[in-house]
Amino acid sequence: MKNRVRLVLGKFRAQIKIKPAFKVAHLAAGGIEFFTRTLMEGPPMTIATESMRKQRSSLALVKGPGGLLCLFALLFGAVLLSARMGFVEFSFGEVLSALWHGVTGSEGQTTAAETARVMVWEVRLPRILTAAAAGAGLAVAGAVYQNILLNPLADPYTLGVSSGAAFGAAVALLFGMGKAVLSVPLFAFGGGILTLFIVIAMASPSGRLLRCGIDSSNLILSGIMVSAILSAGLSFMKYLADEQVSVIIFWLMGSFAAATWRDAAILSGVTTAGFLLFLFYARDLNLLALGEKSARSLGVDTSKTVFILLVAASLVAAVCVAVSGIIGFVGLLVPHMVRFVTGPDSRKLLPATLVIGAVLLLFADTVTRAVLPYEVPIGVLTALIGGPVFCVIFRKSRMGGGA
Amino acid sequence: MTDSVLHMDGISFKRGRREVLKGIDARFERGVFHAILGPNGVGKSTLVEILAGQLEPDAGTISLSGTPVRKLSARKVARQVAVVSQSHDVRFAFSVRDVVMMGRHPHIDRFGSPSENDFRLAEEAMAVADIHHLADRPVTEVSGGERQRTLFARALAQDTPVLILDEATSNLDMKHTLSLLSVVREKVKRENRCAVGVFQDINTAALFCDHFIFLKEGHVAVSGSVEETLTPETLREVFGVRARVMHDETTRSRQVLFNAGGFHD
Repeated sequence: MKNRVRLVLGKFRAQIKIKPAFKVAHLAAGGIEFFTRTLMEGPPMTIATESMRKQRSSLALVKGPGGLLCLFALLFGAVLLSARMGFVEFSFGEVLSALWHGVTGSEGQTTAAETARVMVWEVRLPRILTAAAAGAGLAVAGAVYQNILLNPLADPYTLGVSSGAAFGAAVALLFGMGKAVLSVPLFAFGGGILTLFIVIAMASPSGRLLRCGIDSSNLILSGIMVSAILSAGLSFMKYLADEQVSVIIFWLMGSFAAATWRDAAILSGVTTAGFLLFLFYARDLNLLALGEKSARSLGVDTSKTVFILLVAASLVAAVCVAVSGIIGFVGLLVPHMVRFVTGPDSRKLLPATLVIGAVLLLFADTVTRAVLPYEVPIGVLTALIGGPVFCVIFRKSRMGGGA
Repeated sequence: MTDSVLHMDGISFKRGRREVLKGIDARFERGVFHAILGPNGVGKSTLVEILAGQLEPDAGTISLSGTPVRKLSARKVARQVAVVSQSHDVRFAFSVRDVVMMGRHPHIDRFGSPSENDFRLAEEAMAVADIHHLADRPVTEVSGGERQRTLFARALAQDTPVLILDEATSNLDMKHTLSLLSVVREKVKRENRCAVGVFQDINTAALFCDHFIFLKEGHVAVSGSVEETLTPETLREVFGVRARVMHDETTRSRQVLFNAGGFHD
């Protein structure tokens, strides 16, 4: 295993050449133009023509700037709605003025306004933004996994990345490193990425990591096996943890209850960075969806691209898990559902997945925070809803109707 | 030879412990349609995958116009070499047109948009492969043969000097096999391109190709022009079958007639 990881790392290093500064500048300029154009006009129509445009308009959920704006408006609306709900209900006006006070850093003029500011800005908003960013990150990472691994059923959870991250985080918590600012996320990331490599190495034929096509059912099987081993390891650590055990258990079930502005910032930062990277590789992702060999013959440097994307997706997923605990099914279901509407083109799929993932997890968190009489851990809620939907998708794809 | 674009020098490849290819040397030239033939499991597809840069050989070099392929970026290779593989399972519902348009990927800048020329080449390729009527259908929902034609069209849209066919017509009906291979032959002859095809059906290969390479047990058994190589002796040596080789006046090609039950050990 160590050899294989080293092999991939070596290859990766060999492929990154230091580019002259002007080339980097050119790339950066092109990138900025690309992103602004994508936001203004929708994704460039590299792989679409007139009739494709017509087809898009008939499916018009995500269509050009209008679609994207609608999606972000939806997200903003969801944030506002969620911010007014809870133990104390506020009006939209109160929420907006609380936001204004929060952004400007001023205090509310009246006691009521000040209460609203504290509740909305200091208690609810960090949690809301963390939930939204985690949902977006998990969903986008799931979309990338599914695309690269040619499997509509792949996600951070089925691949064992979540379990690996959980194991890593539990190690950090057990050894009392939970107080150091970044140690839990770092351990979670390390655990997640290591698990990913073990799973891929187990599933790939003839030991050629990331070179030959990996059989996707093998991949899921090895994911499940590794997850099972890791969960045994987790149980052992819970057994060892004594009085720390509640910290670990609480953390594992997933919750945004303790989310802070710092969590929100870390998560949104990592998710945004990952998303921009994925968007940068969106066209390569499309080619990879037809298989690695085919992508290579069309000029994608597959081993490098796949490596970068898998590591980035695992980073995003692992950081989400590190901050929020294990939240399953978001990364599996959201891209799958969005694909029904946008089609498989990553340039449309990724932005839509980002927003829908954010809205859905925010919705689930709001339900458990403000609607249910007792707060149910969010991981439990998403699994309760996601599990049956997963079964339906599995059944459909077994019957040959996979998207 | 002067017009050789692809060189293979001492290519060896192992799958697990089995040595599939044992030091293969070959030259592929412009203006020539090459056929690679041989019994099952002899390494034809492996050879083609190595030729296309999809697999790395354990030993030996592939060079493209004199430069080792290893030193070229995947993108540069893809501007020179297009591959039609056997159609495989596709799980993502791209439209047929999207898939054909992907053939233009190596020619379009990362932040660029496709030009009129890109669209034109894709449309032409779809017309040649007779999939125009399927353009907006998801590639997951068309038949195996139609999907194969889509991959063929994608490679034609890639518009490269070298075209590699890995049993690209083995699941096509006669009409589409003939029409697509005619197009390839025409491109080879008129536009001085190089084509390399792996074939199961010797007679199809004999209709369109100029140069035969017979593989046996990981070696090149016989290589040369169709007239030189397509003989009963070669067929007996390479495939272990008894056959007669005729010259067909109408198509001016050699054709093979096999004897039922005429096996050798």
